[in-house]
Amino acid sequence: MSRTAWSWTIAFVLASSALAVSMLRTLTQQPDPSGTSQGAESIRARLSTATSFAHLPAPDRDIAEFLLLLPIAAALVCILRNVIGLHTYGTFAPALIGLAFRDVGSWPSLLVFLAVLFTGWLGRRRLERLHLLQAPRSALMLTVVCAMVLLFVALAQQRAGSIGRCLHLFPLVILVSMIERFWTLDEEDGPWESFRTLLVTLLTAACVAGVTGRSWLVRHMLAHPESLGFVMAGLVLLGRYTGYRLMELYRFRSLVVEDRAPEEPVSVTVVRTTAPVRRF
Amino acid sequence: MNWFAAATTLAKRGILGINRRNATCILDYNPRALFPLVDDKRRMHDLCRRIGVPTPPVLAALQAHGDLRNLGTLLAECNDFVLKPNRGAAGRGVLVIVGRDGDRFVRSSGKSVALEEIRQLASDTISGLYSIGGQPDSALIQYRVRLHPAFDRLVYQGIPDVRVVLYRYEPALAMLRLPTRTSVGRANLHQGGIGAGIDLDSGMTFHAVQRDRFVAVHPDTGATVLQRRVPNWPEALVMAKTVARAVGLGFVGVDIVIDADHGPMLLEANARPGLAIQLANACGLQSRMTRIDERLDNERAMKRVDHPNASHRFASACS
Repeated sequence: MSRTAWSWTIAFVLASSALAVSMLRTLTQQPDPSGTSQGAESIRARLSTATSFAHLPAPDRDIAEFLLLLPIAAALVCILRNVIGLHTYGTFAPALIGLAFRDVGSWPSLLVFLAVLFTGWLGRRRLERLHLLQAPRSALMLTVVCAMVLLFVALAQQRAGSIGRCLHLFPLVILVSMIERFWTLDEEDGPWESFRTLLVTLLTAACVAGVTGRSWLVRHMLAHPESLGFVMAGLVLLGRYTGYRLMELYRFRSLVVEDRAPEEPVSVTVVRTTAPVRRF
Repeated sequence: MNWFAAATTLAKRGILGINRRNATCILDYNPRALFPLVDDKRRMHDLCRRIGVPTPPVLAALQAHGDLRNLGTLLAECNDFVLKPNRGAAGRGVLVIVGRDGDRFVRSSGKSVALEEIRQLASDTISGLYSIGGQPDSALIQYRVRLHPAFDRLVYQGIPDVRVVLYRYEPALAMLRLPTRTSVGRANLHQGGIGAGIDLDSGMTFHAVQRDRFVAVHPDTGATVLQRRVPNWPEALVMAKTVARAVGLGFVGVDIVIDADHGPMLLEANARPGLAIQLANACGLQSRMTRIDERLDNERAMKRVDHPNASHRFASACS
């Protein structure tokens, strides 16, 4: 059996198991899950509530939420990359950044992130003149970034600690590697290319934030964690997607024009006239 | 733009997309174990020496930061050379020095650099800044290829090269890559170089693109890039086939430079060749690959004697 056929089979198995677990959960759902029923029914009820995360206490629920949303964010990045064709800094950097800022109320944190990125880039330019070795230079950038975030945390202590809430998700290492790649791309291909990739990365992160911030999605994933089976099925199929990327259709647009044969370049259309030159 | 119609037209013309390239060509035909050979320029040089294919000689290899202390004495006798990362890609981290100006070095762009800047570049290269995967790397000092007179007005401050993409060791498409001012003297299409498709039989260019758009003349010199013959073309084609067969990759891009004094020399081989060659040739890779498959399968069917190691590696991948 070919690889694509195997992928479809595995995806089908994953999706149908996820569906089966979902149906099982719905069938065994008791109206009052506090265990008032007896015997085997109470075991089933306990099982169905044990495998859903909806009623966990807050800190554990945050972790479960993050772990359940990260695969969805990653799948979204894969769609944007392999089907649309958007090029970002790092494969999962946008997923982590999007997840960190998915709450609408996290505008201050996003501004902090952008401020740190920009200041980090400026700092990197200054650092270039010292001609430091690469690893200590990256670690130095990481320290500077940490110091800046600490500064913002100290400043924000006077107001509501909205920064503190997302801090444990703050992708600091991602930030440092982004600054380094931004700098390299800037040096190699010029500011246009580096800013464009940065913009695409942030747009992808915004897309991820928009999707994973939907409260109905979060509630659904917490109550039905077996939905990850659907995500896995989708990813297995996406892994064998051999169609064109949307950006490629634009890139190869000159080849979409069918009537131009390569032997006759358009710009060298010489009109061959054999009309004699009239001399008077 | 009607996306669906565009996709259908491209598929009909046999244009290979990057998803299909990664899933079927690279994953199916290029064993991962061979990637370190192809990505490492020194190992490729050793391979070429073994099979008798000429390559630009490596004058020195800087493998550790300690080697940079003697960089001054090392470069004392060199008036022109190329500093490049051993495992770099897409022309990153390459420095071309064409002459001296006292104790400063003159780049191909005309600007001069001090020894200290060369040392910094080599240090970054050894740290792995320009290598594929960011792993620690070595910096190579290599012979600078001399521009062949046939390309005299076709380049801007750089050396052109010929990229041949081979499928199952047969040439599928070829293009001539010309440096421009936009590409800062690099023969790389992503940075703005010109890609001119080469007809495989005659070695003549017939179509050219820059930044995915058709061009007929070089923007910096004004010379036409079409109907130009690549010197030593049959030799270069045989060299590409020999290297592809020796490396063992079923889908490979071979880069060859034509030196003014020494003729065709192998620059490097690429296990993940880019798809811009299709734009340069206005022809799809998939259609060429299908034709090669038909031809090779016909030849195999006609062979009465079954050789045990003939193309069986690809038999399972074709199913």
